[in-house]
Amino acid sequence: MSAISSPRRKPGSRPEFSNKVTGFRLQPCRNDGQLELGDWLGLLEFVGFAIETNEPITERTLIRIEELYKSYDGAMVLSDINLHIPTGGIFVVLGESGVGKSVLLRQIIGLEKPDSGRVYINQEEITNLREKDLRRVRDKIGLLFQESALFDFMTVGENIVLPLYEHNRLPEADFHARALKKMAEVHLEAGKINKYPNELSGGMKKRAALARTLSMEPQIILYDEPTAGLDPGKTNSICKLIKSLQSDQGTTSVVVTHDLEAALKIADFVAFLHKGRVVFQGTADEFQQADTEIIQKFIKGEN
Amino acid sequence: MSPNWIKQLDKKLIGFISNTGEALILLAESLVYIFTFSFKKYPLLLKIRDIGVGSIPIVGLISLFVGMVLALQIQDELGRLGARSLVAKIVCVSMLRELGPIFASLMMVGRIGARFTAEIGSMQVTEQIRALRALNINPISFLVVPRGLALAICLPALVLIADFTGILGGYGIAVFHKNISSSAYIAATLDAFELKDLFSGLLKAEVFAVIIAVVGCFKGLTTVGGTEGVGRFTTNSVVTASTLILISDFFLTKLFSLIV
Repeated sequence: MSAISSPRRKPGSRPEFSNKVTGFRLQPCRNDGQLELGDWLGLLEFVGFAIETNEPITERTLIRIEELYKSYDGAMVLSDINLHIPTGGIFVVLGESGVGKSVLLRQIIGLEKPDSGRVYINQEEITNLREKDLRRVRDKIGLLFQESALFDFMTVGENIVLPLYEHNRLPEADFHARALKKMAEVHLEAGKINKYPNELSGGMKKRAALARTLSMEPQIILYDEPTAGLDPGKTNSICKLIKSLQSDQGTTSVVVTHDLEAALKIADFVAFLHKGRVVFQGTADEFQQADTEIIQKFIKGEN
Repeated sequence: MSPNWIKQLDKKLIGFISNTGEALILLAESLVYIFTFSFKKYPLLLKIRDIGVGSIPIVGLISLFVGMVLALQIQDELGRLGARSLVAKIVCVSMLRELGPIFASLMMVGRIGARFTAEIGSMQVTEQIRALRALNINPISFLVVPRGLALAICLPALVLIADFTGILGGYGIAVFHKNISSSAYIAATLDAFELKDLFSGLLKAEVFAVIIAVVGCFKGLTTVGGTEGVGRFTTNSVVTASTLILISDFFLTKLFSLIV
């Protein structure tokens, strides 16, 4: 019971109940003192009854997506997306190519606005934030792009420290050391610091881009197809890297991929996206045992 | 049901108005960054070096030949009228008011405007612009402002060089080819030289710089369609900027003739 706070009520105000575990706050919206169904459910939860809901909102929920829709030129790409991504751990969004996985990441980081629906980061709704306010949110989020998106007119070292330079986060004298530190974190040889992106292999580009992402020390890292185009050996090493970053730095990772093998190596939680809809959300073990035909076909590679 | 061509026209008109509006917003945002000094100085210096210093040889060479051709063309005609002494004056005034700014600007459209679109367009289609936004770096202050400001600083300077080399070209033809006295040519040039002509040319250059920068960067930022799109948008950028320069030149000339 220690996790449940006492109901607070100022004289004349409406009763409010909150639960620290679930993060549920109850405040009847009617002024006539009559409680509605939702209020009674909250009250029951407050007094200790477990109430099963499909998508529990907990304090561990770091990213919450509700009823999100996104279309391009009239073609619906994401439809009624509801996701709860917990703090810590690796959350993998699986699905075939072209089902809107990358679009979903762009909604999370606020690079695109949804047609409707809401995205919450740390309980703060970001969907209606202006670009200026979104910068504060993006400070906590790093995004690794599918094609790495390194700036080709800059060296690896310059790419890594660019955000620090632009935001005046570090004295210029420390740039070299910081770049080397971040390169070491992603196991990229120090000798590559003065190389240009076109002089690097696909795997090295991913590492360099990840080092750039890490330079801002984000709380959340979004990976867009991190193993796409890599051979099995490099795929394996990128998977290990994602896992080690998550365990060493305690970041929350959201990985979108169509690579089932890689996904199952790293995933703590899995959501499966099919035709723009989330058709499964659960642990990696539950995903493998799911008896949904679409998922089984995907697992067996029959799609 | 309206005919298909009306629908097409309607679509193109809306597209034109929308693009013009967005380009003006880009210009306004860039001006805010410039006047609040919200940009890094080092990238600006690099762009000045690339745009300005790198363009001196080609602008100088082209203008030299423009001055030479102009002198050649008018020399014989004026000779027949017994007014060969006017060659120096016509070359000087033409270069200062019109040919210097126009030729230097058209050279910069091809050399720099196309480059702006190709560079930024390539970044757009390879998600580098998105990466900038994801890193909380504003693409306008990072990409557009240094380019636009460098061009606005460099183009008037290049026009000065174009004016000088154009007049020099005319001098070369008149003195070495048509045997006009060097001192007479210089005296006639100094006599024709007026500061208002020089400044009207420089003011035109400033307007043309804005056109080149805004069109080049806007086309780059709106590039779609992969590498093929980069080529298409770059061509479009050159055509649009050149057309706008020539149209605005007419109105600026008219405006200056009314003011001065």
